[in-house]
Amino acid sequence: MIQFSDEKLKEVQRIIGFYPEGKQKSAVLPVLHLAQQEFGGWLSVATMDYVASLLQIEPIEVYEVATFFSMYNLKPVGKYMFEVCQTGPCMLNGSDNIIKYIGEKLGIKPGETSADGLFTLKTVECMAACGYAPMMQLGKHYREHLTKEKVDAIIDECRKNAELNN
Amino acid sequence: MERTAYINDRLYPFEEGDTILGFVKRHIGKEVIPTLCDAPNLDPFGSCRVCSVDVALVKNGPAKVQASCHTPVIAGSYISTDSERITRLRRNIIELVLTDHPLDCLTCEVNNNCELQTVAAKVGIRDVRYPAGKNHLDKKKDLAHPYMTSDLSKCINCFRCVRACDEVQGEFVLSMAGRGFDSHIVKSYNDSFFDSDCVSCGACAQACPTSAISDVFESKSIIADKKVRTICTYCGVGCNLDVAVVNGKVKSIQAPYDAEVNEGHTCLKGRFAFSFYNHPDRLRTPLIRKNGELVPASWEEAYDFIVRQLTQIKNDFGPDYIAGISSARCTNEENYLMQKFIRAVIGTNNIDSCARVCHSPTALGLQRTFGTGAATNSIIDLEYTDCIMVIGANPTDAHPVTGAKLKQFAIKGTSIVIDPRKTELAKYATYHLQLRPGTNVAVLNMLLYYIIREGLEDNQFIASRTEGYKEFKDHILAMDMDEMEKISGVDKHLARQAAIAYASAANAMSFHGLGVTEHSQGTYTVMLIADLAMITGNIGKPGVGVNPLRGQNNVQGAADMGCQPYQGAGYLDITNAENHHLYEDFYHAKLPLHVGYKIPQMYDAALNGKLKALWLMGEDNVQTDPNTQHVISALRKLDLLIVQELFMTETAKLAHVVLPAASFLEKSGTFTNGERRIQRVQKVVEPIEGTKVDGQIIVDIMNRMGYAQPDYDPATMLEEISKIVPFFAGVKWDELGENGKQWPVLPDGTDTETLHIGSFKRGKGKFQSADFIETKEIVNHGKEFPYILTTNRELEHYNCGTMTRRTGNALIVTDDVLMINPADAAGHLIREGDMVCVISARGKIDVKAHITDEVKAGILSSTFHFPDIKMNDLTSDISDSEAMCPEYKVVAVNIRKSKGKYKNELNKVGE
Amino acid sequence: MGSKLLLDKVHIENIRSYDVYRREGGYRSVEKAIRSMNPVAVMEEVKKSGLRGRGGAGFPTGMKWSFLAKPEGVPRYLVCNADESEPGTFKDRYLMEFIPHLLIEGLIVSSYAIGSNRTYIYIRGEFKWIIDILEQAITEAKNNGWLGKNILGSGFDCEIYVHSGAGAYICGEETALLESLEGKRGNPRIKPPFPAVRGLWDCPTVVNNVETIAAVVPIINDGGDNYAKIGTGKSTGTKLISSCGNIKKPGVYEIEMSISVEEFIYSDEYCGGIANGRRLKACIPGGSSVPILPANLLLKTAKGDSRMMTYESLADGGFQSGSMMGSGGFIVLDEDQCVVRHTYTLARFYRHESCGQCSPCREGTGWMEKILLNIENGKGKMSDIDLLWDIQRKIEGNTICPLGDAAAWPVAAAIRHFRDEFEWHITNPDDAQRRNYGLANYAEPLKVVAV
Repeated sequence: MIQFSDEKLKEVQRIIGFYPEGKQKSAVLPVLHLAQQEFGGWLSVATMDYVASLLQIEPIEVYEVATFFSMYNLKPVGKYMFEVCQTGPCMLNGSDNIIKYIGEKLGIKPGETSADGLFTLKTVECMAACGYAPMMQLGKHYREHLTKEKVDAIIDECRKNAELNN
Repeated sequence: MERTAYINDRLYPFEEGDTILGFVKRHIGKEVIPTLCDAPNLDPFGSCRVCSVDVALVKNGPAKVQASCHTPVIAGSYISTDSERITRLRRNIIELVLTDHPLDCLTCEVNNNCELQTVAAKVGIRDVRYPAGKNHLDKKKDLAHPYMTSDLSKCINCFRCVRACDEVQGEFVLSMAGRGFDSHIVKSYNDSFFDSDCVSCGACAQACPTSAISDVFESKSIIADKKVRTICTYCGVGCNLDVAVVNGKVKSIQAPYDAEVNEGHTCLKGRFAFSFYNHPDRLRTPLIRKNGELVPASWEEAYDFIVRQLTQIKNDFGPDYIAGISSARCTNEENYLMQKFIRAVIGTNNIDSCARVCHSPTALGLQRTFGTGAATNSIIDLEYTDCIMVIGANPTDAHPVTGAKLKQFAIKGTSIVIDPRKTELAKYATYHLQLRPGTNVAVLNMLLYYIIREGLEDNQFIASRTEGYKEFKDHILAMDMDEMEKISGVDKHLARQAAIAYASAANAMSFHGLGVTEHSQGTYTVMLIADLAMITGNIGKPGVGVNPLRGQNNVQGAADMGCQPYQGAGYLDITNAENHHLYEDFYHAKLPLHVGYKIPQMYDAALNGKLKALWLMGEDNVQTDPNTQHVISALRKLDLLIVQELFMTETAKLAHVVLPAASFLEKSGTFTNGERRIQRVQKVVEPIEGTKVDGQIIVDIMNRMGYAQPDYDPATMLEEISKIVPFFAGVKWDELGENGKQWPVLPDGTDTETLHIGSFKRGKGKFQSADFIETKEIVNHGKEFPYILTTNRELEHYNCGTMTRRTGNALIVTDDVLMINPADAAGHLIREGDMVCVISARGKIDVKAHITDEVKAGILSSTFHFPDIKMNDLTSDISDSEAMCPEYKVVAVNIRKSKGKYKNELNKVGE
Repeated sequence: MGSKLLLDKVHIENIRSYDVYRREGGYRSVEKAIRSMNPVAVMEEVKKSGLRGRGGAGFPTGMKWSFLAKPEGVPRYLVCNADESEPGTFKDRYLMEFIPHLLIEGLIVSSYAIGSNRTYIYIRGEFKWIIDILEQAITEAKNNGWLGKNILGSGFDCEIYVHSGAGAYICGEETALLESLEGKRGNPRIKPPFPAVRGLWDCPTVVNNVETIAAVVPIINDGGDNYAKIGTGKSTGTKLISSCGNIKKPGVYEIEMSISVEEFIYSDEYCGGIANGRRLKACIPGGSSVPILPANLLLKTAKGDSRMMTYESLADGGFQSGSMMGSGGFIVLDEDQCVVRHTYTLARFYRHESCGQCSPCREGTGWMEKILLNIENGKGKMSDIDLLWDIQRKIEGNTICPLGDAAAWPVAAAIRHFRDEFEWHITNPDDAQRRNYGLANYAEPLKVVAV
């Protein structure tokens, strides 16, 4: 059953309050972010339908938006998603090698999730961190000036966190 | 600055708001600038860029490439429609598009009829320079739907289908998902039309420039022997249809873009549900009852039988023992003939039509208030209005094309919906007053009260155009709003807000349907709606008025033609001596001066032995009239029941003579739509063998009974009608044109979009108040039967479904369902799809449950499209106090889960 | 050291917090504007300053504000474009992350000038932590009376809301941004009508970049005339430049628009020269969509003048031999970089970001990516170069929004100035897999093939 906690529902109401009365459709992007975060890191059809019902809009109005924006995952993803930038400025600073390295280390190709369900490697386009390249987004934050050593440390950190949370 | 600009170096005048494309089309021609994403009934979109042209601000100056479809014309600019670089640009764009399009033209459905193909040929594509690349050619076809098909490998992402779905129908089923090259059309979130919420209006298929979306009839690409423009036979919207004929058979139907009524749109009934016309079930020979059995007979035998019997009954009992019921499905000319036959040949006023059971209160109510019983305005007025009020109507199902327009309005503008159900329109409404069925009068009085209380009346209009306001106002102000709130279940604050919205809009327009008329206070409700218009000055100009949504295609016409027991052709009172002379002179016959029977009275008369013969033209009264058992007993008592029909209906089964008639596709004549528009119905194919046109059947009998009447021909008939119906004075068959004329049509042929400009037919508009009176149905049976059952329609079916059940529509909606609120369902342990027994004081039926909050607790609603449900076994014979329109909309019932499972559930609960 | 108007206080400890920001003179412009100026006067001051939009197009801000329709009874909106997504550009992020109150302050003054009671910051969704920073700043500003009802007793009400995008470069285009803010797909709208007449929810709307809004603060504090004194010609004031690529000191710099490109690249105050002792090969001076220039044309215009960091000088020579200031995303390529590969990553970016509405862009961006990859992988044909040129010509100027131009220009410029490197990839496919072309033979702008 897809259902926000009371606290998150309050957050939804707060977001809807950003917009004039009757314009609650505007909240679709922020509420989808919240839903993705709450319901397993991706948006199932049921999740999108739930968001539609919360915003009193047609489900298709959610689908068409969710499929447009690259931050929404429409398939299940790993617990930790490495979103590594590959656009020009990052490429100039060796992002290709970093992507290759992460792939080898985790045994997955871009777009894939590791067998243990912990990691997903995703290549993304420019994240506005060009001066701090190469970089990736992990959860809320950016990890910048990536080197192989840094990548090793990040993977260890994730594994540790995953154990702690189990 | 002067409004002129150059097209290819020649100067032309343009109009305010002209796009370059519109400007060029008007002056040079439609084919000059190729387009792909542009369509006649859609807003400019600018995505295909094929319509690009060069625009320079000075002669031979630097030119900029502009998409002509959405770029406004700049005064004094120089537009080049086909400079070399523009031609090259178009060629390159099409080449890019073709890199992701299968090149299987020869086997493609739209070969030779494909816009992409035409444009590609025009820009001169000879080869595609690109290497093999990513494409969408592996997209699967969707053939699951009875009508709609898609092959998205052919899609060129022009968004026309999405826009048609949004802008024309307002259904929002089709959409673009994904981004960039991955953009693709989706149907809700599904791959198939069948699983989506598609209403099969076909607008997308008609809009699609390739065969990416089409229909099983291949409507847009069919190569027809001929295409005939005619008028749809279903609802009162009156859509124009282009019917394609191959080898004498109807193959497909399209909606013409230049039709004023439907502007290139229509619904699945008009577009797809035509296969009934040559269904194997069609009656193909007259039938006469012999030894209790209906057996085939020749037309001559049938005619002889009818003439003999009618003459005998007339001689034995007198003309008043004979009655006729005409049909709102037939043409004006046929309706005129039917009443003429009953009046001039039989000599009685016992003529009525099915308008009795739908909009008779509208005609009467509006006649009493304004003097004319018809819609005051036109649907096009939606462009000029600021607020719509929809009362007791579910237009998105019952009047789909107008419904779509109303929905488009409601999405953007101020709208008030007064309806017991949360209808599609109610979901988009600014104010939805969800009243208890049967309390329209109470709610309208609330609106009137608050308008007066807030001082929002249009005093100038009231003073100059109306009478009776003082008493009216005092009466309204004396009402107790708390009591009205209690009666109707509508929050008085909400009613107040709605009243303010309606009264303060510069122009407000009301629409109503059978939820207004089919009540014991139907006529009074109509009068109060008219009062609302008058008190706010919303009458006599564009964008306002009182606009009944007529149920059947020609319900307006049936009444106009005099198929009413108290009014002759043109609404003249037949008891008035002057009119009486007029008619007698005109028909060259002796006519009775007394009023005849209305339909419900005919049944009573039959049961009392006062009526011996009844001629029914195109109506299945057993199915559609209330209190079925009562109707059956009445018809069984008759000595002669003549039924003129397409199919062996429940009513035809009781007949002594059955006459096989022709369908709308097989005859010519005129239908008058809900906005008084007289439009030409044109014969598309010959009547199937053995059948005759209804009008000809009547003419044949008239002649055989000694009254000389020329053969049925719409032009001659219209000429006769124009001489007796005042508002048809200037109607001539040859002058009706593609889009018809709205009556009154003056002798010089000018027609009328808006009624009551300057003055009313009756002089001054008359205010008349009405108090809410609880229907006897509730008073007498409410205690024993605590639920209220109301009736509604589904988009896919028409009335009792005689026609639509014999088309692919039956695959989409397969049975009637009873809508029931979740709380009520839970109280009776009813689950979705369970059979529910519904019991009224008259009978009981079983129907499948659909649990929904579309209805409030205590309220049930059901359709009656399928005969096996026998919904009218439940309905009462209570009718409108004034016009005798039956009260279909309020039935006191009780419910229980049907036997079997019910007990088990109870036992479980007991454990 | 040039004067700094936006980042002068960015290094002060805790400047992110309201108390420190206020102590350092923050919100003075709000006091000044609301207490002593009417909205028209604020707009006039901005006009006087000569401030040009810092998002990329460089349209005069005061003029943009003056186009705003003002029908009776219809709300007007200010929307701040914080959807910073142009490759090479990360200046707005820096400003919002480190000195958020400057943006909030600028927004309040600008909202006052425009008459916006509801102002939105449309921020790219990936900046999740910055959303928190901005919301915190808004809460502090509100708690201190700078936002909400009746600000400073003036009768002016204003709320600011942060609206998160979700990963779409196209939403940096103002009409796509408005569509997205309305909860729809980010498909740009056809124009006219322009947002100033029909924008957010069909109401008159101004969309301004983060840096533009921030610049309003010093303009009001010190006067438009003083602002206009900085810089040269029509390039008034300071500009944030985010520099990246193969330089020693990548980062965000606030420059006066009067220094030379050479100084910017080589001085220690700014980029500090090319990294790892390599030589300068090429540079995209204004974000990935503006034309790439080879080193010689970057440092000197075709006329032989020193190229300056101004709108006019960067554009000198047109696309034949010049580029654009754009969004100030300064991408430097050293001699080891492959222009074909770099151009390919940009083409991939634009293909990924095309909304799919217009045929030329939807289909053309994909083909440019594919053909560039073929060339990069040694599978190209000579005719591919002409085909690429042809495609970009069909996209440029032939789409609803400027994304088409943005996608076309980098490819066009790469072919224009580095055609020999493309040809080398095609004629030496094996070599091209093993090594880079190195410094280009770019002494003169290369001949452009007519199509």
